[in-house]
Amino acid sequence: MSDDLLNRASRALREQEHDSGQAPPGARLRVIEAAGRARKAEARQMAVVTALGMVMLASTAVAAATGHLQQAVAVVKAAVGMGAPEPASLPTRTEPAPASLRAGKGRAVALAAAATDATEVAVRPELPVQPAPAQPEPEVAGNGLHAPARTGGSTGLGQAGIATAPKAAHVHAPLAPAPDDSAEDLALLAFRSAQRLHAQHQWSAALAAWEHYLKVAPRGELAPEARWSRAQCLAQLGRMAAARAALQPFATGAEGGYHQADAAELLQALDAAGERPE
Amino acid sequence: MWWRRSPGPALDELVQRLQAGDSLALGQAYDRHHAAVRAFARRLLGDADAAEDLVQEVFVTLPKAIRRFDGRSSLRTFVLGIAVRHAQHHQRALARRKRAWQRSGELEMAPPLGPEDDCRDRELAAALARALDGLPMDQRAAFVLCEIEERSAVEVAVIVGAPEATVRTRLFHARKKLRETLEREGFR
Repeated sequence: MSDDLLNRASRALREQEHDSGQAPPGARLRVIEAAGRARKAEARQMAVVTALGMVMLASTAVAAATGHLQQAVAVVKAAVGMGAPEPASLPTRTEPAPASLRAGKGRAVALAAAATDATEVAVRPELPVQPAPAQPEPEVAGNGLHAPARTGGSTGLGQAGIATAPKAAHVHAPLAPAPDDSAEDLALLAFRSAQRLHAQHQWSAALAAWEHYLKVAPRGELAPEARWSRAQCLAQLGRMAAARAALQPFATGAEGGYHQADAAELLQALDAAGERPE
Repeated sequence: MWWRRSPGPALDELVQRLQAGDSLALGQAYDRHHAAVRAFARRLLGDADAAEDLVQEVFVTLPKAIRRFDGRSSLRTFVLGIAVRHAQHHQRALARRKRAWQRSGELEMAPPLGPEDDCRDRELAAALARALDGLPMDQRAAFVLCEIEERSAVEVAVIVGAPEATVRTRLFHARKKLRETLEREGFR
């Protein structure tokens, strides 16, 4: 078939009488009426959308003012599967640096190394922290402990001894958990709180926090770390007998070899320092 | 401002009134362009009722669509473009109707009798109309606008909102398929 035939067909179709100029009766009126209805429907839709937008805006403002916005966002995120509660940024490695012992007025123990490790752990800033009454802490003179700081000057322990003055302004108690948290969440909150206090070298408050955690989750998977940290706090506070007692299970391998070498080293350091039981 | 579109040609008074939501302007636009839209719709869809539905839909949606009209083409081109965009679902509805007619035997396929040449042309026109039904809508629109309505490829490109080269390609494929279909029907 040639293009001529197709062209002829096209021409024939073009020239067919379609009465194309003739609109059916009432067609114009129907178009104008339908357009008017469409315009009104659009205006109604716009009004509804505007009203919904204003309600959303007002709700957001009220939620922000009353402090519920973050909670609502978290609920929505959880509902849509975007924001499962942030997994605890638990320490995957909490082994302290090898304790560096040195001779001098006394053998020093690098207890603060673990504390500086703890600073590497993310701490949720929104966790509420309640101030606790300041506790006077014993001041140990003589052959005290010295912790060489890995991060520089953050030990709080001098060569002359352990100076653990009360820090009333920054002493923290374990967290007061929200009533709707599960037991696991409560334990986690307590662990984080203790970890943060430990990292801040607030030994007295950290000790209380570790003990609180161990009370909440004595068999928790983080309990060995909590016991290890508690022992460090005891040593930092000069409670040597308690520290020895706490370190002993680690040194003997009762904690499954966890920090076994470090514990043995610390115990040797304490013995060499000649500390007497409290 | 850099994000504003460059100003197009000045819009004529009818377009400005349409954009302002003037219902009288819609009546005037209908008066000016309904015949062209109807003729195109009938050629595109091959059915008077479906074409009438399409004409109504084009002018009902015109007040909303005209907001994005920038005056770079004529109002008629713009209106035909709306018709092309809305033709697809009318074509689907029409295909369903045609299938129903064929099942009930109501669809008259044979052309009316007449003088020999007229009869031959009517047969050709009817065969072409049937062959057009078998084309995809974009190729069908390109063929109707270029070959039946004899518009330039440039204008058709504006109407269908596609590059000129695309329009030429669609036209090429449409012609090829139509030739094959007519040959199968015994036209040589």
